[in-house]
Amino acid sequence: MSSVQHSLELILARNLVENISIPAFVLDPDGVLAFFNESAAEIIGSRFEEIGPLSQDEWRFELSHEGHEEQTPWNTESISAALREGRPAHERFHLRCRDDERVEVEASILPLAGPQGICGGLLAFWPVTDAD
Amino acid sequence: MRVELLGVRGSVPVPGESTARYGGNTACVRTTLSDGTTLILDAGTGIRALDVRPESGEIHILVTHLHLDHIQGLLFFAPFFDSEAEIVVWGPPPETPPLRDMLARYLSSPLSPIEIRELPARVSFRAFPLEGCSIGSATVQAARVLHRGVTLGYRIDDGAASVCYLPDHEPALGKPLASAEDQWISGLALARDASLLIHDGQFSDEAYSAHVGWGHSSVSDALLFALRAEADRVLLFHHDPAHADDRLDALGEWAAEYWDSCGGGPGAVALAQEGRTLDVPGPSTAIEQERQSPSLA
Repeated sequence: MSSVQHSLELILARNLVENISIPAFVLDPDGVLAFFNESAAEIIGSRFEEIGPLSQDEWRFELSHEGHEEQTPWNTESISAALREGRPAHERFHLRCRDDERVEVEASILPLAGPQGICGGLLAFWPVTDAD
Repeated sequence: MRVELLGVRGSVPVPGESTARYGGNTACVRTTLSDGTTLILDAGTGIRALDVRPESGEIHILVTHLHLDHIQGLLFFAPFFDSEAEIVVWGPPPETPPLRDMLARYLSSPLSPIEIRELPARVSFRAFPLEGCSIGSATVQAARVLHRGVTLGYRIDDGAASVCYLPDHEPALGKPLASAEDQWISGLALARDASLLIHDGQFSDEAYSAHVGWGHSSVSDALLFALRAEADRVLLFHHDPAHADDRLDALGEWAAEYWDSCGGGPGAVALAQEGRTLDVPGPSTAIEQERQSPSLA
């Protein structure tokens, strides 16, 4: 048997994410960005098939901007903790998009747990507006 | 490994003249391993006809899920009423509530004349370990697959022969199979390179469009799945109770043409037929013994 088969929970999460209009990522248990949907692609400026999948370090580099003083990078530690401890988390940060544009977003990560433990997470996000 | 199809119908038994050739009993498949061990896949009404002797050793029943068409025959399985019989009923996780308690909802009053605790046989009920286990001469693996409710698919490897059993499965839910990557297809790793794949093929493609999300496959999706898995042979299973034999003949012809158009090997696809027995010796060499039904699609 192949060892790369995703868990049923992750397959179902991807099915859900593909069919909703909220920008969302599917993360595997190691934090690998396993999929993002069309709504996320509109903000990022690239389709998943063009850039993914990405390890946590890779997507922190590709989609965030470490070292930029005025803008908040991904807090990957909170995501790791969510995947490790199974607790939902909420963050506000800047997303690096095509042409190096920055978009401030809020994101909630929902850990996914099955009979064999935590098998990934679903991260939904939305751009911060003036009303926020 | 020998495979006997005892019930191939989905949802509800449909006895009668119009279903006599493909059969009206619900899901049950007997596999006999090279060391003689009996593994029974699902316990639909087809299990009633199963003649298995307690003296031949421990009997294992591997239940994919607890929908009634997969457990209804339990109450009519003769070894349950034989105090000499040792039976292990395996089923899907979780451990809580225990499988025994779940099945007791059916094997208890007022649905049943006897209680599960009254079964004379020595019966144990176990959640199947998802890491797999050895039973007799086989290695048995299971994976949770897309269907309504918690559902397992099983794979039995005995020497070079392998049978993958996915009787209720909708791998195309949410996305077309043709474009999905392997790791995102439910059940694909379990079915990889199987000598024989027994797979849900309940709906015609026309009917499927009105039943997306019901947990069952169209014929074309079942065949695409088999091609992606590179299974040697595929039997379409879980026939729609509304489909009489003539309708299934037509579906079988369509399936054979579709399989051929996709580059599948000749004669490698058929509709499952109750009463049929196959010997599955290993990859690419499956030999079929037509014991009751010489003409199949």
